[in-house]
Amino acid sequence: MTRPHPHIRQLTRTESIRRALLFALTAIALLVGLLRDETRLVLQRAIQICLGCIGIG
Amino acid sequence: MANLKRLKIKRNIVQGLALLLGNANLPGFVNGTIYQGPLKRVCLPGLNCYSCPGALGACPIGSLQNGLADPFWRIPFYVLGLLSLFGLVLGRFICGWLCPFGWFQELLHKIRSPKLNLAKSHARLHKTLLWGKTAMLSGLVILTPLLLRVLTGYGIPAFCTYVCPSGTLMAGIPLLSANEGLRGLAGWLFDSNTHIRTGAGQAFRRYVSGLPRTVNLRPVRLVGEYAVQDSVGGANALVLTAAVLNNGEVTAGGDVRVRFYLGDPDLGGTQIGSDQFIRGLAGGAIPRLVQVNWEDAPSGVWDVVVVVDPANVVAETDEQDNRLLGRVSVPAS
Repeated sequence: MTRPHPHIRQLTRTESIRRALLFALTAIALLVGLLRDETRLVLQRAIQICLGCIGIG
Repeated sequence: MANLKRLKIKRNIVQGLALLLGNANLPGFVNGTIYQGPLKRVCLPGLNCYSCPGALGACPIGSLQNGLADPFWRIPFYVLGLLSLFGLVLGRFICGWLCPFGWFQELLHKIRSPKLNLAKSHARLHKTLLWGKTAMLSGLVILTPLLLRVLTGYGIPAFCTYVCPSGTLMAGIPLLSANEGLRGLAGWLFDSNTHIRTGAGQAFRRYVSGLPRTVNLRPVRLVGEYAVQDSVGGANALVLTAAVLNNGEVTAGGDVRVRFYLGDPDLGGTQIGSDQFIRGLAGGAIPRLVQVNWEDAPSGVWDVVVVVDPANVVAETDEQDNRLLGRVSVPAS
């Protein structure tokens, strides 16, 4: 049996379930995004100089 | 105490390494250009402007706003998924150990100066200000791009444009310092003489402002040039030249008709020469010239009016700026 870490608080059962659900949702969102080729859209924007960011726009 | 000091040193090293790793495109700082490779498909953890010359990845906050602002993107699942993954796996470790802007703030804090501890001195104000980050995230990062997209068809990355200090620090200063072209354009969205959009103005309108793509025709200059003296008739032949601009976003469909009048056409002015046409007047800051010969121009000083698209065939954002009055001087023969 593993001993609990002395400084890191153990997650309660509810917290564990909540975290697992969030991980599942994250995985789904990433999968949907990748299937829709959203990385290309991110790239398209990120390779243009954002004029608003640099104070021209 | 010694442990804490060691941890601080470790943290500074990790923060420095994270900054270097995320911004390793060092030639960009010299050339004043940004990295455009495939690594920018991935968002970096932390506030790291993707317009920073060194940035190898995309900014998650900028990407999220662009996703929400873009009418063709709908919901940015990929960016939301990445943000969620970073949060779930790393939590606030990102803020303390990886975020370059967090490190910069810490370094600033080290400058010896009187420090205000709001949590102690103004607890209530401190508590209220804590909501600021939520307001910023929901208001400028999420709602503004989204609402503008719904209302106007195209949103803007409002946080990047109006607030983001990382953009100014990591992108604005290095890019404007190294890129002469950008420096020349900075702050010059409109030419002060002609009031037409400069390259930056066009780019701003196209990529940032979120205004719909439009056509707007307007004459910007009218010149009468004394061309040939008609020795037979004793009268003058002048060439009237008008510069016509489409300061919209898209090319005006079909031929754009241009007419020259001697005097105001609404007050009985007479047409000079025949109708002239401009084909394919593209949107942008570069005007096209159109000319008409004014035969037998009587000597004197005359009011000449140039009218673009007199029948309002082309749909424009502003139909009221299609004419220009110029004073043309015809010398005595």
